[in-house]
Amino acid sequence: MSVAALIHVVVSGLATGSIYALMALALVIIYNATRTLNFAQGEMLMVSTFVAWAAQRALGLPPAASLVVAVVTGGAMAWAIERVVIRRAVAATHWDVLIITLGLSLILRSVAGLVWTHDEFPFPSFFGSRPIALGPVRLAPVSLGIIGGSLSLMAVLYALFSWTRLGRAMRAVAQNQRAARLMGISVERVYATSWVLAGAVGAVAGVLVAPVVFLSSKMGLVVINGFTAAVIGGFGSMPGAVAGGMLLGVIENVAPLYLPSGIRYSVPFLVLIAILVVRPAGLLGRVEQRKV
Amino acid sequence: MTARARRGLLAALAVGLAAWPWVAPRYFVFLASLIFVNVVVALGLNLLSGYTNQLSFGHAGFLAIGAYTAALVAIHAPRVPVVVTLLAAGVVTALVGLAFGVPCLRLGGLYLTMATLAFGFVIVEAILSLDALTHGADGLRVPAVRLGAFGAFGDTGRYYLTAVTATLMVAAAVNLVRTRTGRAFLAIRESEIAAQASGVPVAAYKTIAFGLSAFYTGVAGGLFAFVVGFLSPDAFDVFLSVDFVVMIILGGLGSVPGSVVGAAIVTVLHDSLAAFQNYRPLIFGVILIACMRFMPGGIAAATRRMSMRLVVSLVLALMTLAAVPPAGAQQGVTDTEIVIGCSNSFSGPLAYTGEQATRYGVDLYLKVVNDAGGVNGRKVRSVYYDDGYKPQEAVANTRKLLEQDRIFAVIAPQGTPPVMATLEYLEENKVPLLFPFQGSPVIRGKKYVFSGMTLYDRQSKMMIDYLVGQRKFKTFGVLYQDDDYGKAFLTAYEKDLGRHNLKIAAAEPVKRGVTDVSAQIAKLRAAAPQVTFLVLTPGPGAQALKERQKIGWTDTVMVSSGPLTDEKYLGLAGDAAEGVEGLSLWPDPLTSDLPGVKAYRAAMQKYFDKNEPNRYSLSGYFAAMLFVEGVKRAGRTLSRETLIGALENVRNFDSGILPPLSIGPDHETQKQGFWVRVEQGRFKPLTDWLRSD
Repeated sequence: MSVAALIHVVVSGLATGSIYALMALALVIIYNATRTLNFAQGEMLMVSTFVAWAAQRALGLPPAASLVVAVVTGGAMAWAIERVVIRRAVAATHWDVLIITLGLSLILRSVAGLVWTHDEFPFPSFFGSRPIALGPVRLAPVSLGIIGGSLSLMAVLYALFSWTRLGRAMRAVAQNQRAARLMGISVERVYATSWVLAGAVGAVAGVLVAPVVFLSSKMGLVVINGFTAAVIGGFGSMPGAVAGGMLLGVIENVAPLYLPSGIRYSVPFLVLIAILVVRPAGLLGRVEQRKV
Repeated sequence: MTARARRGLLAALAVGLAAWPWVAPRYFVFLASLIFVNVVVALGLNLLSGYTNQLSFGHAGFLAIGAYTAALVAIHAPRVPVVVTLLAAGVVTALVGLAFGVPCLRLGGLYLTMATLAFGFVIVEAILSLDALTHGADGLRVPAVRLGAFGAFGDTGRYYLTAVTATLMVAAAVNLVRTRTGRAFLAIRESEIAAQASGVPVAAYKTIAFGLSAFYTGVAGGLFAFVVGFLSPDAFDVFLSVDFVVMIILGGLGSVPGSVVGAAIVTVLHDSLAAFQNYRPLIFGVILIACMRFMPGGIAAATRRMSMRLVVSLVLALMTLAAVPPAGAQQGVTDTEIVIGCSNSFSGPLAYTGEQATRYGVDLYLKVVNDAGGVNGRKVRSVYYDDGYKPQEAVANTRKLLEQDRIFAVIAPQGTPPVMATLEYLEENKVPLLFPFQGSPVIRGKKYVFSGMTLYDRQSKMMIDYLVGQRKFKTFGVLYQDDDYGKAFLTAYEKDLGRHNLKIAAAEPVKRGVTDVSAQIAKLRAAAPQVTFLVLTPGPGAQALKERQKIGWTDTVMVSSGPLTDEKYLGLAGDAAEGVEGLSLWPDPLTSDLPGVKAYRAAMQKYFDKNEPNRYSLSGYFAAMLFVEGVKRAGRTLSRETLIGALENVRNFDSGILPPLSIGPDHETQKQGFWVRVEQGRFKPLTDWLRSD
């Protein structure tokens, strides 16, 4: 295997990894606010991408506008789900919310199948797939575009969390809900914002990945890679989610190069289990101490 | 309730359960066996989730370990009594569960859930890679249960086996709560911290709970293997684990009667919704949310103080309802109607193909025929159930089709594992299995089976003979889907290249639903084959073509297998498909001028104008056409035997779609294909029909 080929495979892995990282970020944003997993994150991504595609076909929108449609749909759907279902759950513990989101994921996939069938559809890309040559190395604009797009979104999120009032409020809630409430932060608003933000981040990931894996009711399954990435990075840590996603993408791509076919697909999950056993808090997470 | 009334009810239940196989329709005996299997799983899951607050999404993995253990014991040591086999299944699963669980139990709730999710995936991968033992993706046939003097078990025997086992397991679970261990579980459920403070060794008891849970599920896996009779890795996906979670959420966490009721309701619901296909996950999702919002604690908490009494009354009521024999004609033929059907994928990885082949393919031709007055005065009606590519559901659906709907013949089911799982049952009952949408040669030479698409080994022969003989290519690479479909082609390519003294230079598997194939393409490119075969489905196939474009790999001819050579794949790949070649099994459904294809397009326009013509629906349409031809030839005295005789005597049948077709005693229908190359986004024929004999 030439070095040039290896570089291409790694860059492809980073592109896939960026998508996993965005999924992981969306999961972590909700987790930090509400201490629960959103199993429906993948299906929310799928539905927002489908809506963008349908709008594009019906109205002849340019790709940039379909990105906006996806983000708005993702945000609005997340807001509605939080308002209508999650917040009203009787005496919701995080288990209950987990089960509810599991139910939501089944419903969303089912509805998508009814509306758009279970077929696969091509999704227009912002970026071409004809390679650019850098010496012997060939890189695809589509991979670079996904990586670039994801990194820009991460930068925006970083700015939001570091430098805005809202971001500070969200970090405060993540650290200590009670203290945050006592400081006059509306925890409910933080919940809602977190869901909307996660929905929007998921939608961007959907629009970026759909040209590569194609649009279908199955594409929500990427949420499982998002979970894995988030756990590898340390659930709750946003830099961890990014690192975990990138690492997972690269491992998934490089493993088939060197490992026999029997075990290569288990590698991501074996890495996950190993990390859980050796370092349960993940690469960049902190072990939570619970006071009694 | 007095102890006497209670004993009376229990006795009534025992009598009802014992008499069940003698009073109930056959299908409900089978369904009851499935319920018992699920009851044991639900108990196992509830031991873990209900008592120790650890949710698991990996119980399908435990079920798989138990099922494969039992199957392997039954295959390799047929004299071992079934009790020992089931115990072995439980113990092996418990050991694997502990090996995995002990390190993971240190993890808090969410993390353990994640770990169990990963565990489920690892187990499926392990089954796939241990194919010397498990037969990998092809699936494993489970021999009949034997118990000393009883000989092989039939439906009734399997029913009693599951019923007795489930009863013992329920009794054990009920009593467990009264032991020291059970009390410790309850304490942990109420508050882990309080339990720890009161001196309960939480870690030890959690480990015990995990082991017990795995043991229960392993025993259930053993029962599952015997009841279903066929195992494949597809059977144990994460959605099966989700079904188990629905059972205990609906029934009630931490409640034994709740587990029983939850398992029974979910099993019956799952079964009765099989015809509603897309709505099944929708309804299960609604149940989950409704339980959480309006009935936290499930049925057990909703009925408070729920005891065995309610369970017993419910079960008795249900049993009375179900014991009504189904209406319907013998053998699915009346003076005015013929009923046919199949179990197919309407959800899961092959949902699109399944729906197109049946509802838009078979049904399309049936509409044409029925509107023209039917065949020999009879209209043809179809029934379909969804199996989501899982063999256990294909078995259940096929039994239901035959025993409840009384279908005449099975037409156009899909996929090797689901079809193989039903084969023995259909043969026993002498039911024709017509034109399955799969080409694995394993269905060749069966008395009641007629093949559908050109079998994979014939496709391979045509491809290799053409590429080596006429095009003079010497080196070959293969990119194949890591399942029965990909492997059947790989084996056939190896054999056919061997005839020309050639070998495969490189072969790379692709997992179903993969996001990136860059590594596989890079490895194939390093081997520099002149021809690269793609044995994939449209999505990954198009991804492979795009990947080749990305790295600018131009000095190989990409050749797609028959099932892949399809417009869908061209549409997805866009300009990356230019110059791709392949074996086409069907004329172009969108542009062909053949009279049969024109008629197909006209019918599609008339009945389903929103549905684009495609090869899947065309193949279903053709299957129905061939069936109707057989029925016509069989005449008014239609029976399964006369249909088979009539089909065997089809000579030079001109469908206007394929060249004139003859079926002989070998039961193979389609045997040809022709070579195509993609030019400006369409398949252009390069050869006339190639022959494979």
